[in-house]
Amino acid sequence: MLEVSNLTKRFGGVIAVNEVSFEVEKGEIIGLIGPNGAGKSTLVNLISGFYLPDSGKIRFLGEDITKKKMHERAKMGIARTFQNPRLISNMTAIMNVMYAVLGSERGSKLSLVEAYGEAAYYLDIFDMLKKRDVLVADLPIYELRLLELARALALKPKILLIDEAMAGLNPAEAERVSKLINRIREEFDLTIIWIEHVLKIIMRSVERILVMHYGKLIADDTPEKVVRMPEVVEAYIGEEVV
Amino acid sequence: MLDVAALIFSYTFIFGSLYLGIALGFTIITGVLRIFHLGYGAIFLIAAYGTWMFWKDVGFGFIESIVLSFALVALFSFLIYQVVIKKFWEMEDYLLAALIAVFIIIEELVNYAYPEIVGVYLPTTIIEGSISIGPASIPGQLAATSVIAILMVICYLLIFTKTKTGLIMRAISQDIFASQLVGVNFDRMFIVAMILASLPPAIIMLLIAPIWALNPFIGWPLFTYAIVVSVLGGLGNLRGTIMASYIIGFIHAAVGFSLDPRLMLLASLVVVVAVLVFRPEGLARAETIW
Repeated sequence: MLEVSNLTKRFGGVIAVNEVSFEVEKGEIIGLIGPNGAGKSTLVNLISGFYLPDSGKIRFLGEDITKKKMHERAKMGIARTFQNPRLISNMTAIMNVMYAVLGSERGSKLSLVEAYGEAAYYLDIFDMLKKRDVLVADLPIYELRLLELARALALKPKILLIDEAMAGLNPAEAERVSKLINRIREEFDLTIIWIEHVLKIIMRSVERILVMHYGKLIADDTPEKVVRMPEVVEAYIGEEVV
Repeated sequence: MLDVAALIFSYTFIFGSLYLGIALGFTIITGVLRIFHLGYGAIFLIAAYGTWMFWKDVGFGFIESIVLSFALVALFSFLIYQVVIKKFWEMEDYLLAALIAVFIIIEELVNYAYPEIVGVYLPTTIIEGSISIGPASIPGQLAATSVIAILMVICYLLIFTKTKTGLIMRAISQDIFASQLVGVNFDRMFIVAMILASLPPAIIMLLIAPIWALNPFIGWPLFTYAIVVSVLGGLGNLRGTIMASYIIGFIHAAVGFSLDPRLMLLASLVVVVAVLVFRPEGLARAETIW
């Protein structure tokens, strides 16, 4: 489904992503981990089109998307969330999801009423329907995370890139978000790449882990094998891997 | 005393609505594209002189010429986006210089083709003579222009609040990055916004053409009103523009009828500067157009 080949991104003298290559099959759920500054978010930014790579290629569903714009990639089915949720703060929760529905491939064929109905459906999945008329600026971080997931899902994505969905959440909230991510993956037949710092959750939620360190991909295997790899342990020296 | 108060009251409405119409397009561009469109004044010239050109030089009927001038204004806005704004999007100083250069070029072209001695006149009068509101007598055309300006604002508010395009534009006006992530083609929406924003100044220009002597440099004072109102209201916010239009309208009416009409613009500029000293973001600066 997704094929990343020799992807490199430099910022001045810093190589944020260095010759990274991997493939993602349809339906996979993959964890992307690494110490701070490893290049995980940059990699997701490259896949979602926020940055264009200096070299390398990205193919999605067999098509070369390396130079495609962000909105074109979104329309192809690449959705993402952010460590710091990027929502429209002066709009209500449902309006935020509604404009994702309208921005999607099918959006032009929907009336405002139909888009509202669809948005309500996606909010309901995350138990956010009761907050539909609340301004985003007034929502706590846990609900912002759910809303961002609802907005991403409203695009009917084929692949979902999740950037630290647990950041700022307490353990109980993190558990609930983790369960919801697994639930939507099954219900919507999603492929997921999930950046996460809460390793205990990510290790038991995914089938495969990519580990980045100083911009390089240093490991790509099952969670059980990855935690025993010397290079991963070294990258996390001072930190407990699991 | 009562007569002066009635005049001030009436002309606050007239001037305020007129300035609202003049500044409406500028506010839309500032709100959606988040740029300071220094070429905005050229739209007034293209609308007026384009109509004259199609009517007198090309030989179309007057109504057809008006329709064609609107098409010309829309084409100008499309081209200025494609050729100037898109190119200098992330280079603000170049963008501002290029936009003002376009304005001056249009102005010089108009001055070359139709200098003041040509005596360009557009018979777009809707209401002849004056109408009386109590003791105040108001030129009928100005009153008609004011009412049409308000109707335009209502139409645009309906677009922004009740249509898919409006919802997407409001989202873009707040966060262009997040909008792209949900598949919004901001390029296309910017073109729509540019064209939508070019219609109010074109309509206002044609409506005031019979009462304000047309000359090739009329774009500047109209552009000045648009800037004064938008800056006072808070750049890119329609609520602020509405408030600021009537505040400026009141200042102009009060100064014009109780002091000296020559002090009108000066008085409003002093008030704008004074407000900005204490509230640099304007009266209602917001992250969204509405």
